[in-house]
Amino acid sequence: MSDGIIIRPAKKEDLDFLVDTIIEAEKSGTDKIATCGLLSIDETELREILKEILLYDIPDYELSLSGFVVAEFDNRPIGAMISWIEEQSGFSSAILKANVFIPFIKEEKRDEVAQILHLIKDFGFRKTPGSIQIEYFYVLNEFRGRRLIARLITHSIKKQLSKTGTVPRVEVVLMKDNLSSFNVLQRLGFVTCNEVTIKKEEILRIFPSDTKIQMCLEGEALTKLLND
Amino acid sequence: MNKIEITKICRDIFRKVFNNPLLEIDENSSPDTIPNWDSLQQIILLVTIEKRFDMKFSASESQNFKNAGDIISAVFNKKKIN
Repeated sequence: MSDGIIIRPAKKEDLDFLVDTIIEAEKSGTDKIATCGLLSIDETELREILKEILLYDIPDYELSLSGFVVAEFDNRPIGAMISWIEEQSGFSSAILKANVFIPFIKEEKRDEVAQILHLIKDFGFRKTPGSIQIEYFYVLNEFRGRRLIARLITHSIKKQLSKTGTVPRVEVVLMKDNLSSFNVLQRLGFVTCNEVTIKKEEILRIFPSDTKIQMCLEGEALTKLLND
Repeated sequence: MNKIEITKICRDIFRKVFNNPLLEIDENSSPDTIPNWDSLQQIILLVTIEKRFDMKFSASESQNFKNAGDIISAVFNKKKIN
């Protein structure tokens, strides 16, 4: 496609844009950033923390700098997303993510954080070991409507498949009312395979909505995507 | 404080966090062997241990926590230095 947009691996120079990507993806069109609510920090603090964590470049989870791909136009990043193969290193991405945030939980906030986490502990899904996980897809407003997120997702899946050599399952977790992402994924052949709702006040204080869904792509639908 | 004492204290914390008064841990205890040990429990576990031992894990330490042995060793090494 000769629209001047290229998709390439992320570089350290993309750090600020990757932080924007993560934060805007978490907001899902709202003003809530779940990680800020969970850790009792503000957006400015989170931005600095994410920069530091991304530079660790630990592989196989959602905050791995080298796991991101970037869409570039006229030498500037306009979109990004991350993908990884779950438990490729032998440990769950969720544990890897929890570990990197520990040093940033302030001593005086420990009890508060533990209490919040206890309240929301069932608000998630187990990721299938060996599956391709995709997350944090984001495109600048001015470049939307060009199927760029679909291109990023397809590129990322193919990139991960080139590492595994097999055709596994692709999974993604999103808020149920994130209709723009849902529609993109559905058009690519993803179907909803799990759903969880937690009716607690704390959930809506922290998250953009009280229902998460896990969407999956596998089998013929995955083969079709790869051959299109 | 020796490693046996630290392990015992950590075991009691594990029991409380996982709500299992009979839970036993060893160096290889991990999310693969203890039910419900997910990312949220990992954070609760680690902040509880930090508070109990009055310490703070560094980034280079916490990145490598894959099982109970890693956590207990990190506590022991920190308490040994202090």
